[in-house]
Amino acid sequence: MPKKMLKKHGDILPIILILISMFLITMTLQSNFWSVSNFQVLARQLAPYVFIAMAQTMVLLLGGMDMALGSLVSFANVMFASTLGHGALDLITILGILALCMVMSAISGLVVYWFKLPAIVVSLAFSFIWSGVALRVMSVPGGHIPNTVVGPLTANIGGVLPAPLLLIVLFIAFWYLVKRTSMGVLIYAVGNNREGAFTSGLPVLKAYLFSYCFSGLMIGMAALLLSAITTSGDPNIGGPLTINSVTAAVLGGVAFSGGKGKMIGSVVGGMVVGMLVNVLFYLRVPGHYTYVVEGGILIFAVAANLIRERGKRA
Amino acid sequence: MEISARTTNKEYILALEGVSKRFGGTLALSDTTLTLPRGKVVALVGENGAGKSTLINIISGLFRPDSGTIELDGEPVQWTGPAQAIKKGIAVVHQELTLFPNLTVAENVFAGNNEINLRFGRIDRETMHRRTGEILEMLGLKIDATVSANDLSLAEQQLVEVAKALVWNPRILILDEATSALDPNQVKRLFDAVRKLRDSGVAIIFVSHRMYEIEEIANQALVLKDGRIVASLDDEAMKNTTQDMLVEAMLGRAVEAVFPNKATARSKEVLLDVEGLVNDQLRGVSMQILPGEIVGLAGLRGHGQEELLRVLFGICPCKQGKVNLGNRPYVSRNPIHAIKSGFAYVPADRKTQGVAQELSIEVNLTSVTKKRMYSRIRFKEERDTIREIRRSLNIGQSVWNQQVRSLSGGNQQKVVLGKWLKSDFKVLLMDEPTRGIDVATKHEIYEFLRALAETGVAIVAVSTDTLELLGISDRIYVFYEGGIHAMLEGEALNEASLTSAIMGV
Amino acid sequence: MKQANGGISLEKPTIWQKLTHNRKLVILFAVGILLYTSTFLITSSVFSVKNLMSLLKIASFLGIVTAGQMFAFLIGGIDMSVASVITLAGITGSVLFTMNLPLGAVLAAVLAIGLLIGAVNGFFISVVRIHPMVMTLAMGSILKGVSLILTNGITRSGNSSLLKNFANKNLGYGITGSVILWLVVGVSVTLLLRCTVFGRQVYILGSNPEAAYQSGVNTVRVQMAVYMICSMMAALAGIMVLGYTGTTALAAGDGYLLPGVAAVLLGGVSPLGGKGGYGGVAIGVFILITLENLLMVLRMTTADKNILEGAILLIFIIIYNTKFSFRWRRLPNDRNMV
Repeated sequence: MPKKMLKKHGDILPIILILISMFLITMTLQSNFWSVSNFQVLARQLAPYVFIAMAQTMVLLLGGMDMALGSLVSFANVMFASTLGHGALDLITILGILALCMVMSAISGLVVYWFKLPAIVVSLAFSFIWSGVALRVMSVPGGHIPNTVVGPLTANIGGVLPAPLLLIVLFIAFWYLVKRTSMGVLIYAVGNNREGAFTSGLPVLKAYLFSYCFSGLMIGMAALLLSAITTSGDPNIGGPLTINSVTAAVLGGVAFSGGKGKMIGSVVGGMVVGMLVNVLFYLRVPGHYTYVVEGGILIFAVAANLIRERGKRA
Repeated sequence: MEISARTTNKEYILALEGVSKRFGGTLALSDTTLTLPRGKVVALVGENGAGKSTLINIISGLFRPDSGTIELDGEPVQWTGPAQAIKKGIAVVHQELTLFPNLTVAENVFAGNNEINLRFGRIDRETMHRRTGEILEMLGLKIDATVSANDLSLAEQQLVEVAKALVWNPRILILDEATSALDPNQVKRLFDAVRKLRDSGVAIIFVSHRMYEIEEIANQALVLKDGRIVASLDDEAMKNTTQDMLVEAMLGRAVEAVFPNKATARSKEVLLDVEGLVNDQLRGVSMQILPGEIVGLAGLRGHGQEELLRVLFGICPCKQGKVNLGNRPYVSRNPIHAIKSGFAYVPADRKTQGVAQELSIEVNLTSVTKKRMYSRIRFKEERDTIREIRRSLNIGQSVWNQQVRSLSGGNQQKVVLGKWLKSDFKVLLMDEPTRGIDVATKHEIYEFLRALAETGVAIVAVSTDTLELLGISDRIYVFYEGGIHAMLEGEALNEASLTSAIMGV
Repeated sequence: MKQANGGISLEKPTIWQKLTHNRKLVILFAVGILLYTSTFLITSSVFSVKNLMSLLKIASFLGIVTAGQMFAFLIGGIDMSVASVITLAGITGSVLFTMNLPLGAVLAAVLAIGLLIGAVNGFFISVVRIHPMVMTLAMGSILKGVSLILTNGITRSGNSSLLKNFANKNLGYGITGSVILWLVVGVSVTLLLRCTVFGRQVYILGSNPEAAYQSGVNTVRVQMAVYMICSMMAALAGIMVLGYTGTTALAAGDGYLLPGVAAVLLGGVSPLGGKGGYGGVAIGVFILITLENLLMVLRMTTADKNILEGAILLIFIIIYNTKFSFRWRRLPNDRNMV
């Protein structure tokens, strides 16, 4: 039984080990790590990274890659910062911007689908376009996120559970429900063999629409939570996020070729990447080392996964 | 498993009238008119490029015809895509595999099939696994439905493709070269299932290059040549038709003997000496190959023959054993070393392993080289070499710098062969030398191989086409469960001995 | 579908036929000329060799980087670390200059570092089999950190007047050393691809890695070489940028990654491998730089510039692809190696 479980879930093993080691390291370096309030703060700061990891995963599963993720986050962020502040109307505005993210992401997906182009290349073009749009909305950092929005997003429900964590759990649960339906199988199938899926009569378009829309929603959520943290807008905020999201997903065992990988792996990967960026900052480690460590961990985790898989086959 | 045949009172289940399809400058199908009766197996016969794939793709909804009508059950239809055709009861088992490697067998079989869905699209996994098991059993496939598709052998994958088509309860089943990876045993089981389907009223279109299979299973036949139907044989006519007559209709001319003569004088010195090769698929294989002979390796697919070739060529590792090539010891390490030592290899799957399809014929023909990596290319020399190769193999090429992709299967195989011609090899290893190739080109290749052997090289060919093996080989080693079960030569080279040896008798 | 018989009597194509039968390239060239001439109409200025040369000077750095990136694309990979390599090369060069090493030594050292980085990339990609995107992203991140660490104490920006002259000085008609270097790089790369066995193997590997392996191509060596060339080009560009700007900016390399990829794609190189050549890439670079220049003169905001460039890239990609979706044409196919 354990051997079969290892075979089935082995791809998320490295990332879990990495997360645990990070916890242990920070624990020894920082005495008050294991406190509820610390975890609450941590949850708030990791949440955006988890969401972008999930967003990138949706596109990776389909066999593509989204290079425009960071630009879309920037766009949503500056939109939030410049349109919120109207009391009760804010809720509608937020929903509207989230919907807009879904639509924009879907446009990218449709171009990939209709013209049968590699997603990397199409999303590269869209990253230019979306970042330009973001700059049009706000050319320099500014804007403001009102407390009425920041409050609920950074609150702790029942004094204990951080709101962002709840949101993450909700979306993960939603994905796992979908995974057990024919849509779930469809997405993995298309990621495995798009031509074969089409020839077998599968509704490939539906897979693209669902994945890209869901990805757009995750991007919007990430931007929302990020906005709540920074309480302002910055058209360049999304810069490093694309790379972070790819790192998180790959760390979590999602395959580049598509059709393989688990969302929970990416979630853990997002946590690791988020921690790298945040906790090291906490510990007053100079930012330079973050880059080196992030690169090193990525190489290590992927290599470990590959070697493990090759050992399995021998 | 219940196979229901929905009966109507129309005579034919499918009728095509005046269907044409053009691709760029080529008329792939012109003015095709045919009717498909229920409850019969109709063979679709023709050379590569005759229009079979186009016809199938139009029937199955992948292409839209430029002109003409299609009637299903007397009602005209216009497909918007394969999905629609599938839902109307037309299922195709394609030549190219459409499986999803990271999904399980059951998920593959039921991909896109919503019969097993509960509310909100949730999949009823119990039913899915149960029904998959039933179909697999009917096809004689003993695999666990929860296995990943990429863990299956080629033959198993092909049968899963069949299962995938069957699960839709089709009224029309099209089998496009669905037996190419199967051994005689598996083909027999498949044909049993096909007959059962036929008897319950399903119309079956069967495409294969193996004439004896067609003779065995088909009730009727349609012969395609150059995009037209040149012969349409009903039950009566079919009974009176021999394989040769079919081939004649396909080619439009009388067919000569397909196989060239066997080797004449044989030298006594062993060229390739294999002793006790062992790895996780081979258990102690030993054989001697003399120069100038063509040795066939027979056996059910997966019993070690292809593996032996791969080990010799350095693609797969071997744990124990000794090999001598031309009196010198040879250790199989990787293809580069194999080539340097004097091996050449033609893989079974030419599209994904044999040629770079997007590149030109010229580049492919010169891809095997022992020159150093940064050496200059001598263009004039190369042009002469390419010309020579094209001439000896008669590779049909129409334009300068033509992509290999646009060649027929037979010509592509010639390119795969051609790239080795100037590499000075001693032993040519071939896996399925003429799979999916039309009869005329097969003949050309057989002649060519014999002529090649006469120059002193040895050819080792793996094939599941028993007639082909008997036709070209001077000797045959029969593999069974990873070891050599028998060696046939001389008088023993007949179909009966070979077939029983393959089955392990 | 009929096949021609034998086919020995195929005519040898004329030079004109060879050049013009790659439709994509012809269109690209036309677009480039059109764009360039339209800049004069739009900005109501006049053509002068001097202006053209200064344009080429600016384009030369991107041109050199893309010569390397093209190799990665040709085997179906990508090098996301070029930006960091450029930055690091500039910083390293700067440091070495302040130690008063001569130009030759500095150049050798920086290029050697580039080769080393490429070798590491190549190793992990070809032997450990990490996906090129992932590996080069990771390497880019690591090098970025290294750059930051290195500059964290050394603020002096060293330089060599020789280098500055090479990059900037007018050698006549406005031609600078960097433009000549670009030309040399472009010609060398094209010769490498078209006239050596290595170049052939690059295309074969990119088109079908498994067939390449079974034809005896040393896939590991080819991949290593490709990534080493790529990083070396980036390092070369980095040292040129140092000469040109005279300082070491930490974001020096950033403008060469995405625009570089865009130029390679514009030039008709397929990201899937096996198709394309430097001629197209060079034109792509020219188009990109001309466009940037034009938009800058028009005072277009960064925002609108980005949108326009993204849209153009998208349109070009779509156009290229619909040309390929035709499977069974019997007309001369696109030449792979221009």
